[in-house]
Parts: sequence; structure tokens; C-alpha cells
Amino acid sequence: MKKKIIITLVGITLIFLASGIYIIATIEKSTSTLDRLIKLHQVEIMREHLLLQIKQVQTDLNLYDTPNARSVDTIVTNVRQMDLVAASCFGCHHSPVVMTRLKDLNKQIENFKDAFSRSLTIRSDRERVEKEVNTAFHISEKLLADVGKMVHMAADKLSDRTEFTLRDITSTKFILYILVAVTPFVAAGLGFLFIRELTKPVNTLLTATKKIKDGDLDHRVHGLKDEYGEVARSFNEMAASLKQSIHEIEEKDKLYRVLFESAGDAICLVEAEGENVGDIVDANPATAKMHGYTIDELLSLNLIKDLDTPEASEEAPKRVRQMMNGEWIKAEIEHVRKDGSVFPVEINAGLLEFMGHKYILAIDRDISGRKEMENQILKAKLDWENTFNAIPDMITIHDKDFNIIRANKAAVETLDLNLTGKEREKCFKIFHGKNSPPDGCLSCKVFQSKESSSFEYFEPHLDRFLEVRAIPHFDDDHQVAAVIHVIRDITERKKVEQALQRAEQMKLIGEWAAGLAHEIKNPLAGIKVSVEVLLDDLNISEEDRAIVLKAVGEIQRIETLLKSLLNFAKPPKLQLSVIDMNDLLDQTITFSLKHPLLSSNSSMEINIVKDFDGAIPETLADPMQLKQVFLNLALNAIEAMPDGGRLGVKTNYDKNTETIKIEISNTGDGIDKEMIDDVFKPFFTTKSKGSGLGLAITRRIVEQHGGVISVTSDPGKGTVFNILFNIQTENKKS
Amino acid sequence: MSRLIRVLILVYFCLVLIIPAREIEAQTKAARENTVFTIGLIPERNIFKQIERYEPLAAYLSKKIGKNVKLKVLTQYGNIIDNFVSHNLDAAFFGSFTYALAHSKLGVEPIARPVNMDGSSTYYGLIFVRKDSGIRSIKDMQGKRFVFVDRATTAGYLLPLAFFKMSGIEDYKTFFKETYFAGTHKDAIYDVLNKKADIGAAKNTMFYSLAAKDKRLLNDLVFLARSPDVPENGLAVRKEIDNTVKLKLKRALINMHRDPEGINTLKRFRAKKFIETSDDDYSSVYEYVRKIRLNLSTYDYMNE
Repeated sequence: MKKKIIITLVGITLIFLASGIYIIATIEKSTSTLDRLIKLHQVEIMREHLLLQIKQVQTDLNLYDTPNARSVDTIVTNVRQMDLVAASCFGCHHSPVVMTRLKDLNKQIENFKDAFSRSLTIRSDRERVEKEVNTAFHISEKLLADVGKMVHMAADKLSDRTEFTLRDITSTKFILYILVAVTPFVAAGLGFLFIRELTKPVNTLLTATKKIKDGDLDHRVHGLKDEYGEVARSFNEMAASLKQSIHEIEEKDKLYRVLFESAGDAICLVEAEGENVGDIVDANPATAKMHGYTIDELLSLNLIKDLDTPEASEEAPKRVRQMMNGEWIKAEIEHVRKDGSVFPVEINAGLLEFMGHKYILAIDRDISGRKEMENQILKAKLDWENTFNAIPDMITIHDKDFNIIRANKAAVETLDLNLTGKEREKCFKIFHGKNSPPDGCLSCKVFQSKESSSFEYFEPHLDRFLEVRAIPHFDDDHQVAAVIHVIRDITERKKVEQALQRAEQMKLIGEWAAGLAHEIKNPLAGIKVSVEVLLDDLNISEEDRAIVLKAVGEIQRIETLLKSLLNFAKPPKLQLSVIDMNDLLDQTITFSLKHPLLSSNSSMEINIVKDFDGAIPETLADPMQLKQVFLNLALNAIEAMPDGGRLGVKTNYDKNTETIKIEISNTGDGIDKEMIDDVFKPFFTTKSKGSGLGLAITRRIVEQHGGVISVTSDPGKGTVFNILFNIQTENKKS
Repeated sequence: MSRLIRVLILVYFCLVLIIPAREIEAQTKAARENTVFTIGLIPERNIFKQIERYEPLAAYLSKKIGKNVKLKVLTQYGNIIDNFVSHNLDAAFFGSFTYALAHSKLGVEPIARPVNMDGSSTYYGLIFVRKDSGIRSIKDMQGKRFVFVDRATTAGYLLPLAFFKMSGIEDYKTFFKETYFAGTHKDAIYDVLNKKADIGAAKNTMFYSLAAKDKRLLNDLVFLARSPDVPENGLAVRKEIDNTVKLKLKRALINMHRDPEGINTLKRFRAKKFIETSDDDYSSVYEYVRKIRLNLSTYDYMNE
């Protein structure tokens, strides 16, 4: 392209240059011709001039020595003039022929001058002077003739030349006119063509761009060359890529539109700012369906005011603020349908800037179904949890690493577990109080055996008897992932078992003892009788009699002991009758004071405090047995206060439970804590001569009546025995 | 931008300075043209040629002295005295005798005289005849035609007169058949050559300069006598001329050979340089005058 431009410019320049040169040349020629012409004229003139000058000098010569003689100065001036004119011939003429003639002319002039000068300067007689003058005159005549000839020659040549030159000039002028008239047009024409060459492609490109602007992306530019060709190529590429891009965008748009329209979730675009915040700008069909409106109706509604429930719309400003900060929020709120029904929605919303305007894009999902399911699941979970926690047995689930990963309420409370802590509690720590699994841990074995195992043992750390069922829990690979422990506190049962066992034992012992006692009784009686007979029959010293009586006393003692034992071992059947508890108690206490133990020691001052509840109704009981009970307790109390004290007797009736409460207290030394549990045990005594069966029998009797006896003691202060009896009537026999 | 302005200012100043300068020059030229200084020329040769010879010198001096130097050629040597009086000549290139006359009659002051190309600033007079005339001595001259140059010339009149006197000729007018004045040295020489006269007298410098162009002079003519040297024609000015002008003239002439333009002028004038001339240099002239018992102040210099 550049080349073309350069070529064209050069071409135009050359044209102009050529025409310019031609014009100048012709002008030159014309002017030089004219110049020559002028010169010729000039020559003629000059020759004429020379002629004139010579004539002039000649005249000077002629006038010399006449009254009209010219001054020397004038003559000199004229001669100088003549010289000048003659000299100027040489300036123009250069051809050898003319030069020779001119030189000759010059010589003649010199001669003339010489002669003239001589005629002026000579100082001699007239004759000489006249001779000189004549010489000079003749020279001048010849000169004039020669010059005159030259003048004629010039004149002739001149007229020819003039004519020729004028003609030449006319024709030149004509050509010049044509040239001057035509060249601009030619140049303009060329220029125009050239510009068109340049602008045509530009126009093509312009048209093409307009077409593209109007949307015809298939339009391509062809047929341009050089740089324009390159532009055209780029243009075409651009159009193609534009078309491609637009196509892609259209396809994408289609895609998004489809997504928008067919989405199951509600998608809507709402205003993000200003007083119109929340106004629905666009909504998909799902929104309409979900809320029970048409899309048109939706467009006139406000998401926050019309679709959110009042509670949800309260929180809306905060959510909007978060979104404006660039957060994408997720929340579960409630929306209200056109018919007023409320349903839960999960909203996903965020800021969307589109076309310089801020919107909120909200994607809402109707989660009623999900919520329902969630509730059910929750309920199920709670049920299960409640069940789990309701089970009184402790259930703990251990993993392979002995971590307690789950535990029910019973376990948590009983074991004081912290399942929510950072570190898992280790089962061996909790259960066994050890830092590692104990050897022979049966539940641990389950991990290997993969079979459930059930065992009972006493856990010293918890001080309980436990029945443990260890059940393996399998994962998908049928590996033991965890072991479920169901632990039942069987301490009570064990106790009962033990008690029963003990009772059995006792019963057996009792029976055995009774049997033994019975067996002993007879021989013992025999011994006693024998001794008594002996005593009667034999004459023994008083000393010896005392010794024998002591022996009899010892035998009696053994008889009493056997009696008590029998009483204890084989308790007599109760003879129930209606009694008044207070009377019974009172009588017994009064009787106890008459006991020989008390009366023998007069320093013992016992203060009796009675507090009887009059509201106690009559109850069925064995009076003889109860008397034994009260007597035992009273006597124990008295014995506990060797230095005197207070014996308290209190009765109380609880109407609600129909229970009689009896308190027998003393201010004795009290019972030590270690022994307090053992006081009711048979054969337990602190007395040196005691049988240890008193309280055991007491308890037996009380329990036979369906009551409960317990003791509390404050060492150093006193002891209180509590007895609880339920009211027994004919119809309510225990 | 400022560069352009600077250039423009520069141009403006140049113009401002040049144009007035030109003006001043023109003015001075005009001024110069207003004061004319006329120098007279004696007709040593063809009066037109004389003018041609002295013209460059006149132009040079014009520039140097700041006046318009004009030349006036005279047809007679003697005219110069008249012209000084009547035509207000300011100065003139005098021949040695004309100087003596002018000095005594008008009191002109000499300034400078040229040195010829051969280094001489003097000339002498020659008496010459044609070789084939047969004239060899004074005796032979009797009854012949004698051509002088001018009554006011040294070589063309004075010297011959002295020569006559020394040769014993009492009255030359009767001794010779005819005596006349050719007017210029060249004419005198050529008259003898062309047998218009038999014996002639002229300047040696003229003779030799003519002889350089015309070999016949050397070949056909022979010298019979020569005079001692006298100063070459020099410039003398009217005594009333302003001293500064006199000084300028002297300086211009003396220093001409140092100035390139002057050198050029000298070349055209055909002299080596100019040297100072004083009245003393003309002592030999005065000697001649005494010898021939001429009274300078009353001498009638007009040729008959």
C-alpha cells in the first residue's frame, strides 16, 4: 500500500514536475527567443547607436575649429560613449566571423580616436591641422559605412527572426495554455482516482462495520488488497469470533433460562437497595407454584413483606445487610402462601450485581417434607434416647480403644461420666479405676471371641455387684467395631441373696442349733437332776455344796442360753390380738424399771421421758412378743447408761401411711459407727456375759410383725432405736 | 517556539542594521557625489586613452578621499594652468615642466608620483630620427622639420630647447625648416616614424611603452640625444585645498600598493606604486629652466 501511495505520489510529482519543467522550458525558450529578438533589436539599436555615436563624434570633429566647436569635455564624453557602445558589441557577439569584424571595427575606432586626438592636440600650422582633421574625417566615414552595413545586415536578419520568433511564441503560448488548462484536470483526475482507490476500501470496511452493528454477523469483507486486505482479514476474523461469542452467549443464556424456568427450587431476583428492597424483579415458575401465586402476581409483590412470615421478615434486614457485605447466606425461615398457609423454606441468597444495579438472588426450597422427616427422625431419636436412658441398667458402648463412646443416663449418672469432654473416658478407668485393662477382662475378650459374654462380679472400685452382658457390635466388614455393655447393679439382689442365704443358713443353723439344743437339753436335764439328787443325798461340806450349787447354776445358765437359742432359732408363731401400742409400751417400760439389774444399783438414776401419741389406733400384734421387744430395748438402754441418764419413749402415728413410729432413746455412750451395722447380728454383743441374741430376736419379732427396726447413734451422746409398724387389721394381715 | 521568535528577532535586527547601513552608504555616496574633486590630465597620449588610463585611479581616489573625483583631460599641456584658474581644477597630474610652471604661477603643491613597472619614477627626454634619415648630428638637422610635443612639456619642449642651446642653436625657429607641436608624445614619435617630421622629441617612457607594441620604433628610429632624469608626472594639488584632503590624497596614493583594491588599480594604471614627491624632486627642472634662461612666472605656454 505504501508502495502504491509512494508510486502514485511520485507519479503525480513527476507529472507536475514534467509539466512544470516543460512550462519552464518553453517559457525559457520563449523568453530566450524573445530575449534574442530583443537582443537583435538591441543590436540594431546598438549598431544604430554606434552609428549615431560615430556620427556624433564626426560632428564634433566637423565642428572643431568653428564657432560652434564643442568643448573638449563634451568631445571626450562623446568619444567615451562611442567606445562604450563599441565595447558592448563584444559582450554579445562571440562567433569568430563577427568577432573579426568587430575587432576590425574597433581598430578603426581607435584610429579615428587617434586621429581625432591628434587633430585636437596638434599645435601647428593650419595645413597640418586640416590634414589631420581630414584624415580623421575619412576614417570616420569608412567607419560609418562599415557600421551602416552591419546595421542593415542586422535589420534584415531581424525582421525574419522576429516573424519566426513571434510565430514560435504564439504556438508555444498555445501549447502552454492547453497544458495549464489540462494538467490540473489530469492531476485532479489522477488524484481523484487515487483517493477513490484509498477510500473505496475504507468505505467497504465502513459498510461492513455498519452491517455488523446492525446485527448481520455473517457479513465478510473480500477483495481488498495490501494493508486494507490485512484489515479486512482481521475484520473478518473479528466478525467470525464475534458471531461465535454471541452464539455461545446465546446458548449459555438459553441454558440459564432453562435452569431458571425448570428449577424445582424457587429462584427470584429482588431489589437489594433503597426503599424498594425486597421487591420481586423476576421469579421462576417454581416460585409461583411454591407460593400459590402467578408469576405476574409475584412481580408486584415484595419478598420480605409478602412472602416472609412476620417473624422471618423481622430478621430480613439483618440478612440483607449480611448479603450486602458480600456474604452468601443460608437460613431456614418460614414463608406464607397466597392462601395464608405457612411452610418452612430453606433460603440461599446473596448479592448479585447486574448491569450496575444491585439485586439479591434468592433460591428458596420448600422443606416441609424434609422438616416433617426431620421431625420424625428427631422424634425417633428422642424416643430411642428416652428408651435408652429409661433403662435402669447401665448401658455403655466401648470401642476397640476402650473409649466409652456412648452411655445411657443410668450409666452417666452412676459412673459420673463426662461424654461431652475433650477426652474420651476409658472404660478401665471408669469401671475398674485402673490405667489399663485388667487381666482377664471378660468383656475385652469379646473383641476377639466375637461372641457375647455374660458374667457377674463384684467391682471393688464401684463397690457394687454387677451383672455384665458384653455384646459385640459388628461393622459392615463383620469386624467387632464396638462392644455394648449392659450392666445391672445386682448389689441389692446380691444382698438379698446373701440375706436369704444367711437366713437359710441361719435357719439351718437354727434348726441344727435347735436340734442340738434339744439334744443337749435332755442330757443336761439329766445332769441337773443327777446333781440335784446328789446334792440331796450326799453329805458334803458347805464349801463343797457351794461349789456344787455353782455347778448347778452354770447348768441353769446353759439351760437359759439354750432356751434363748431355741427361741431365736425357732421363733414361736405369733398370737395376734388387738392391742394398744401405747399401753403396751408404757407397761413394759414401767416393768423394766423393776428389773433386778436396775434395783441392785441405786446410784443409777434413770429419767424416763414419755411422749405418747394418742392418735395411734389399735392394731393387731402379739403382745407377749412385743413386750419382749420393748423390754429388750429398754434394758439395753438402761444398761447403756451405767451412771444414769435419760430414757426416752416416743410414739407417733402417721395417718397418711397408717404407720406407727416408736422411738426408744437413751443418753448412753452410744454405738460406734463400725459396730452400728452389726448390732442386730446374732451373737453380736458388747457385754461380757451377753448372748448376743437380744437384738437379733427383737428384729425378728419386729419383722414378723411386718415392721422395720433401725438404730441411729451418736457416740458419747446417745442412741435411738426406731421401730415402724404398719397398722394391722383383721383384713390386712401381713 | 522561542527558537523561532529568536530567529525572527535576529533577522529583524539584521535588516534593521543593514538597511540603514545601506542608507548611510548611499547617503555618503550621495554626499560624496555632492563634493566634486576635479583632477586635470595632460595629453601625454591620445586624450581618450588618457582618460581611460586614469579613470580607475580616479575611482579609487574617490573612495579613499570621500569625494567625487572627476577627470578633465586637456588638449594642451599649457591648458592646465588656465584650467586651474578658469575651470576650478583642484589638482592635476602635472608633467615636470607643467608642475614647475604651476608651482611658480599658482603655487600648487606636489603630493605623489607613480613608480613605473620597471621601478623608475623618473624619465628623460629623447631626440630621435629615422635611421634612414641620415641625420646624425646637429648639423644634419638644419633645414629639417622638428616636431615638439607641447610648449609645456619637459621632454617635448624644454629638454630639446636646452639641447638646442647646448648645441649652439640660437633660434630654432630659423634653424629648422619647420617646427610644430604634435600635442602628444605618441604623435610626435609617430610623426617622425611616418616621416611627417624628421626629428622629434618625446619622453622615453612614452617611447618605450609605444615601442613595446610597435617594434618599428626601435627598429626604424635612433636616438641622437637624451637628457638627464626628471620626475615622472605626479599629482599636485591647489594650495587652497583643505589640508585633510591633501593628507588623505597623499595617504591614499602612498599606500595604494598595500591595499588589494589599490593593487588592482595600480595594475590597470600600469604603475608599481606611488611615492611621495616634494618640490625638491624637481630641482633638475629648475636647473633646465635656468639654463635656458626662462622665467617661469611669465612664460607663455601657449603653443603658437
